[in-house]
Amino acid sequence: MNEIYKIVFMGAPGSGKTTCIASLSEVPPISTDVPCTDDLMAMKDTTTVALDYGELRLDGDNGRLLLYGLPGQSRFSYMFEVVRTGLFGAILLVDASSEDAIDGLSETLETYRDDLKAIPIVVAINKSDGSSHALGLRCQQELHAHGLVAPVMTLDARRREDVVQVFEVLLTLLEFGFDHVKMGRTA
Amino acid sequence: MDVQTRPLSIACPNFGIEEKGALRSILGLLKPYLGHPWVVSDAGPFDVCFVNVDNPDDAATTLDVASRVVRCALRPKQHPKGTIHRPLRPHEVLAVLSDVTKQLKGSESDDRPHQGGHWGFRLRGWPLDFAKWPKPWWRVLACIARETHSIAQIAERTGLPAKYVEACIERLLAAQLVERLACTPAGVAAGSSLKQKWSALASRFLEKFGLAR
Ligand SMILES: Nc1nc2c(ncn2[C@@H]2O[C@H](COP(=O)(O)OP(=O)(O)O)[C@@H](O)[C@H]2O)c(=O)[nH]1
Ligand SMILES: [Mg+2]
Repeated sequence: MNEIYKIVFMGAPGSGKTTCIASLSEVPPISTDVPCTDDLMAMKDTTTVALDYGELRLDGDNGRLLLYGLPGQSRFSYMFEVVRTGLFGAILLVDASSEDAIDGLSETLETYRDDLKAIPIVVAINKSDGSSHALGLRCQQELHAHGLVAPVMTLDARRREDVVQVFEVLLTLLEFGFDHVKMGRTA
Repeated sequence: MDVQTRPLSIACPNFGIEEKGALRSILGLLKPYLGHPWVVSDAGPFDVCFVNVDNPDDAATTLDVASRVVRCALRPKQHPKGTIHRPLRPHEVLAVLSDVTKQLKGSESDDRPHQGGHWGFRLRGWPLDFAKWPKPWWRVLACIARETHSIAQIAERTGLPAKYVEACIERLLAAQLVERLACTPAGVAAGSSLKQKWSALASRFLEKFGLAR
């Protein structure tokens, strides 16, 4: 076996994509941060507008899990081509500290609806620092409005065990929800 | 059994034994007025769920996405419209159950399995606190998130005992997070090659992260 599997973390700048990938990856993660607009720069020091990349190796053979981080906005949708083949899951990051958190999720669901319907997805609320119940409900409403039923959970992207738990949920979805359906939009 | 003949059933997942007893007595009192038998039941499927919103433990998740839930509170005025008093008052219970009976009988044609069919379940939304649920229940959630399956089918697909699956479904029914639909028996693709592939992959990753299966 020499199989390649991919999962993608999607979310607005600052939502925690780089942090998630860094906490899982076994190779030094690559962040192709490029300078972006001033108001985004004001939000944090480095802001990913392009792509994050990391890797996990499977013992025993050459199987690899490729971890990608992509911005969720529709204007970057061409980048999704990079991950579509071999993709088995998406983690949609929602930054609880951002006022536009729900709008960002909504745009991602709108843009990638067909792709997201065909694979396991988890909505992960990051930076909630406390109660995120109301935001969780709003996320569920957004999912519902887009014809999706998916788990919504909270995590602290800086804690590896949190990221692993999200990954575990994704695997459960794969194993028990996609056990006889072909995955992928065109597959 | 259809709505015309079977007794309708009330869940009260976070009521104490005494409160359940009180509700049973009220149902006895109301029998001549209800026009349909109602029972307090511990086993689903349920037709309506009474929730004690003063007991914060279970209440939050049960309420949020719910539709046919009756909120019960010591001070109903401090809660959303439709909340009734605790301790329960017969006239309020009568009003609530009469409404539900009417709704159920109205939608009865959609609410009955076809000849030779059985009840299937389909997830409407994930509980917001599912991460705190027993992990084997995650499998049940995953299994019915995209498709409708009967208890037996879910048990077979998840490898869990039917009783265990039932307990999860009851919890979901009480929270109105699952839809009960008529479904025709279908072959279960247990042991399909895809299933084996994902299962093996999941095991390898979980092992890698030091998580037992
Ligand atoms: N308080 C808090 N900060 C976080 C959390 N996750 C990530 N961060 C911080 O938020 C900033 C942006 O995260 P980053 O992963 O770069 O977001 P990206 O733009 O989506 O790649 C970084 O400074 C992280 O250290 C979290 O759960 N809580
Ligand atoms: Mg980044």
